[in-house]
Amino acid sequence: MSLVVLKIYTPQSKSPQIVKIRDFPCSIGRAIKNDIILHDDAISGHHAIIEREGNRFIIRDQDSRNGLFMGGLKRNHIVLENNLEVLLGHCRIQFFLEEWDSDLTQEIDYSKLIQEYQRHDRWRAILNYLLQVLALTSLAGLNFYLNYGLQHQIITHFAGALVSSILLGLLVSSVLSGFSKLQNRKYFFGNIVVVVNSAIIILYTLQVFGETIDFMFGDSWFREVLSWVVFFSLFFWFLFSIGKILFPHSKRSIISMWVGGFLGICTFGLLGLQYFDEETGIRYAPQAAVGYPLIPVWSEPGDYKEILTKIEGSVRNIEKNRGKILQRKLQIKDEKQ
Amino acid sequence: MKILGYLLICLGLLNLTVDQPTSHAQEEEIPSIKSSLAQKVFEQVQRSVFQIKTSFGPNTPKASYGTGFAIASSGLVITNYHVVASAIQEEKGYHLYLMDGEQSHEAHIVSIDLIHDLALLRVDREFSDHLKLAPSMPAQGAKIFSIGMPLDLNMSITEGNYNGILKEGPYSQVHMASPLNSGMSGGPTVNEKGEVVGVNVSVLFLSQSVSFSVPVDHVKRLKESYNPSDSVAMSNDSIHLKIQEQIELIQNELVMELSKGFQDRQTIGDWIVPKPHQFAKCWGNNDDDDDGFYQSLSEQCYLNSSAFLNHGISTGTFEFSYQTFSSSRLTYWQLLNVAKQGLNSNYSSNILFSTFSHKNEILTKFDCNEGKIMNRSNTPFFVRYCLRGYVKYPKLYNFEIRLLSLNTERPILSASATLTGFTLENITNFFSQFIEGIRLNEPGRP
Repeated sequence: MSLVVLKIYTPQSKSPQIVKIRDFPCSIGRAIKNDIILHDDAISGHHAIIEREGNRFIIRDQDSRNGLFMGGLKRNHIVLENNLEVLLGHCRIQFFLEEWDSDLTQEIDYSKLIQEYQRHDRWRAILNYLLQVLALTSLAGLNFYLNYGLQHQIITHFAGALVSSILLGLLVSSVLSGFSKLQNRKYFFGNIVVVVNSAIIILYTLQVFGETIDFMFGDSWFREVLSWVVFFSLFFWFLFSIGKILFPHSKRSIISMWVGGFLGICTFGLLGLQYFDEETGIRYAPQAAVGYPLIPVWSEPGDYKEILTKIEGSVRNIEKNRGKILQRKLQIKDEKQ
Repeated sequence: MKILGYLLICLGLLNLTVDQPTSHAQEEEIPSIKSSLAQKVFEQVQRSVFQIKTSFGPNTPKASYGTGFAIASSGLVITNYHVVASAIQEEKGYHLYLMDGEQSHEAHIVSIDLIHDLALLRVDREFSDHLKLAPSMPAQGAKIFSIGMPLDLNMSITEGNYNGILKEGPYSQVHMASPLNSGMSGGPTVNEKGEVVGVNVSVLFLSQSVSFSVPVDHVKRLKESYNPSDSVAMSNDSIHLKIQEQIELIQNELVMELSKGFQDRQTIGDWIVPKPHQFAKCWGNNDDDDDGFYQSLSEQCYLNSSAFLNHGISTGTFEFSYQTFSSSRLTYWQLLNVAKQGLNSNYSSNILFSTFSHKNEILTKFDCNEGKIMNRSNTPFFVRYCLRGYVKYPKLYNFEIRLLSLNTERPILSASATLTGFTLENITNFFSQFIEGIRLNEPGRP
């Protein structure tokens, strides 16, 4: 069993990407259905393909617009050798051939690079998961504190809250990974877990914190600030995770996070100002428009006469609803006749 | 306890509740020694009592049925409003028919009294016989007879005793110890002379033989209010207008009575709350946590009577409750979490109910809002209210309010009130009085 390792230098990133190929043929291009996707305008949708012929590996041009270059010459196909460099569009690809069974650690410098990269990635992943575990634990802890004494089996309750949310996260992630595999030929399981967990944490936070904050700090500016801080930090985290899925190895994940975050805030801000649930008549805060709406904007303490003003508003809504029902009745009558 | 309260006021109306075993037992008892009187009364009355059915046509099967009786030879028939309610409230093209044996005569509504559950019908035919209205009510314990067509069987008579008139605010009912069954609604309750003393209405659900009828005075009033010269049947719109007027009238009285009660205060735990008027039925409970984490006292008050509007919908009534929570073992936030759970559960189920209920042909959807307020005695509250209107009665609303006190370091009070069929003005009056009436019981303060 042989292994081909690609070291891809793209104009967007400083450090090269390392890709290991075990299954052949392996396609390279800009389109999302390729095995290796390169985000570069100079690369065609289906640019090239790496094939195995006996003991040799060959990279073939797939009638691409800008072609396949080696040593400044345009080539139709190239037989791969160790340390060979090929140019596709603006991307430079270095190939390393290795036997599957051999010990990579004893090999030359590129294996160290791989390890370094992997370690870097691993720490980031661990940090991400730790943050999530921390968030989940603190939320479960808050819930636990509020229900303390009313639970007969305290540990079961605490563990139950935590485990059930984690299991839910895993379940949803598996389903999404399945879709991802169909669409991208890759599971992206880790990234999806991050996003799904983020979503769960956002909903859970809004649910637990939302009500608690509303009661605890209902009369102060502190409540407003706290709920917005919680909301935005979770929201950015969520967008960042989506960015990681869409552009796993690109700086664009950062850009998409900022653009998405900005657009998101504008949308939710506008929605929040106008978001008025017709069913319940409750006006919700922007932060609540994302998920489980629990934080009402209207919370300043006041004279009870303010409620009377609210009731006048309710009366107007009820008039509208009555109008609709009467209109529907008339329609039914007309249809019968 | 609250559920039990609901069950108790859940009345066996029309074809809703069936209590068959008692009916058979009663029918067998009739031809016993003492019943020569019953036989006499039955013979005297039977030709004036008819079945009233609601259906699409004279010969189509009935959608619902009840009993009615003639009170004038000119074709005037009295029955219960709830017997004819589906013809008024459901726009399905129902007609009313008076069944005389196999013959059906179309009947028209000429007047109604929603509060006392009465309807005056007019049929285009002369009655050979009609019932006289009793000039006065019998003495308590006197023998009375109820006639009707239970469960779509033959006409039957049941014997019972008169137990006086129950008055609850604007509502009044004859209390009888006599078995009634569905289908007998609208039939007459007569004294030994065969004179009408009441109109059968309902039995108390889960009771042995506590039943109610409408006092004959209201029948007289309804008959007098009808002018024979305008023999044209009431249009549906004018019936609805009349219903709205009648509900408006009684709830003015209800609010007045409630405010009178609110002048007084009562204590529950560490709180002083408005006291309900004496005609409200109240239940008090000790709802302490089983494990002793918190102590709780509760009180529910409601009006036993209400006006039947359509199946499953009653109006013109109120209900409110208080519950206090205190604990030395839980912190304020933990205790608040306990008190909050009750606040939420009822609220969301109501909204769900209103969204998916088929009844929104009669009632609009809920419109709810919430916020924090402070009353004049500086008690902060979290307030949630829901309001819904009646499709046909633009002046009337159902109102629900839930309060949660937010004083830290003090026992928590959760209070709720439900008003049905009230005008906006009365709702806001009630609301202000309710809120202002609540304060902490602090010794040394007036």
